[in-house]
Amino acid sequence: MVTVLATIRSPQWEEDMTVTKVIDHNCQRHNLGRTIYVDFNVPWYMKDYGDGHRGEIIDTKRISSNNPELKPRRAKFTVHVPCSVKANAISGGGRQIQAVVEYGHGLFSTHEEAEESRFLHRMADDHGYIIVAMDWRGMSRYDLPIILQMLITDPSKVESVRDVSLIHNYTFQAAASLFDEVPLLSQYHTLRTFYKATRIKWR
Amino acid sequence: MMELVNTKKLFQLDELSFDGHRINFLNGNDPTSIFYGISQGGILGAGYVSLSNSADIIDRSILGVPGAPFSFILSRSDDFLVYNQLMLYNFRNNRHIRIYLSLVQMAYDSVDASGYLAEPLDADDLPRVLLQAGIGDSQVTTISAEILARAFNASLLEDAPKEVFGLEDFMYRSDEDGPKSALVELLYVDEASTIPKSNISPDRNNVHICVRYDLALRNQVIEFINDGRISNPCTGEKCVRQRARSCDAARRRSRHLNIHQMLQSLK
Repeated sequence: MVTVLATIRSPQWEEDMTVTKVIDHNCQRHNLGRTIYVDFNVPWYMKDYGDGHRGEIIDTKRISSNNPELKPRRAKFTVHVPCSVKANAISGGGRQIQAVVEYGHGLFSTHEEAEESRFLHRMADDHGYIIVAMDWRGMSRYDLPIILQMLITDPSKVESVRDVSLIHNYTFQAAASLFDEVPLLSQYHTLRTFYKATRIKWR
Repeated sequence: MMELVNTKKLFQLDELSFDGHRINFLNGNDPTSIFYGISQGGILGAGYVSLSNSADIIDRSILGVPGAPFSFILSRSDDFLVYNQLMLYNFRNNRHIRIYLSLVQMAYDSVDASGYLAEPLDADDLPRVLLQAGIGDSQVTTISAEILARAFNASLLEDAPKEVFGLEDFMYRSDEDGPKSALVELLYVDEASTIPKSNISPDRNNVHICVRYDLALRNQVIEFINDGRISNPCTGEKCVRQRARSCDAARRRSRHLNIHQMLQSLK
């Protein structure tokens, strides 16, 4: 989620982004005129990537700055355009874009929550907001199997939940926008060292 | 100026044109970047907002029914009842679970706002934040929202339904644009009377859902996004609601709650 706006502001972002699906809604019945599904590149700090690797943890070698092994991986987000903005583009009526609203979903939900939140659509339609939504990776519906496994059989799995959340929401941002300037990565490294030092072996 | 050019690149996507016409910006200006997180979105969003202080990624943020820290929220949430049952497959008793949660918080301090907002981070450097909470919330306790508000150095608005320790009242007479950051609490009288004083889960109610649908708070959000002004919906006891029953339909539609029901069926 954090990466979306940062990447949008990067001069290279267009090369990274692929529109995978576009849905045009009926403005007679909806406040949203169009939903756009986008894949884009994000820096990847986890040990592995792909099917079966949802519960990965951070690869500490990869979080060092200027690491040549750091590879971009794909992440997804959606963009919702309200009917008023669409109408303004076509006919000059409706609303011009006033704000980009990045929406953060609730517990174990997904970016689809932004598609279901009609109060948000009405606000966007009435005032000219573009809504951008992304999953809280590590704390989304797709992470529930890992969460259940953690609760029932292996509490130490919390490390992967924490790492995935942190990576996706915070560290991506630092890397995408101010990789060499923000002291976050070194701060994170310190915290991780502290965490490992205090970590309990559950079994 | 650089931001304006880059942001407009997004809107030059073919998919963001309609019948060959590009979408337009209000007065030709760069649109305001807003973060709006609700529930977990407010909890994790608080960490995001506190981290983004120097990155200039967001201009303002709204945190709906948020809180911090995680370990404090969990055992006071009715959502936790199911997870507690599952954890008892792995731990001997609830005392062990409590110890586990407190230990896990040390890891989560690097994720949620409680860790990032600790000094020496200067709250004055943070983006403006509007926190909206409901007294009587059975899912994210209002006490945690107040902890978060103190961390953000937020103000309490005049005529708030209750005083909050550590938050100063903001007087609109001195600044019509409102405070830099503020906590607004709605008091749901019936539900608030049922919240336990200790750290146990309350009975489920609708406060958590109702806050986002409340018309006065929604108007406050819109004004904050459009003009950057934090208005006061609480003047004249208007932050007091008798009960949170009007959001039942919205609650039934919520997919998150369906997942919660699914997990409950595992018990």
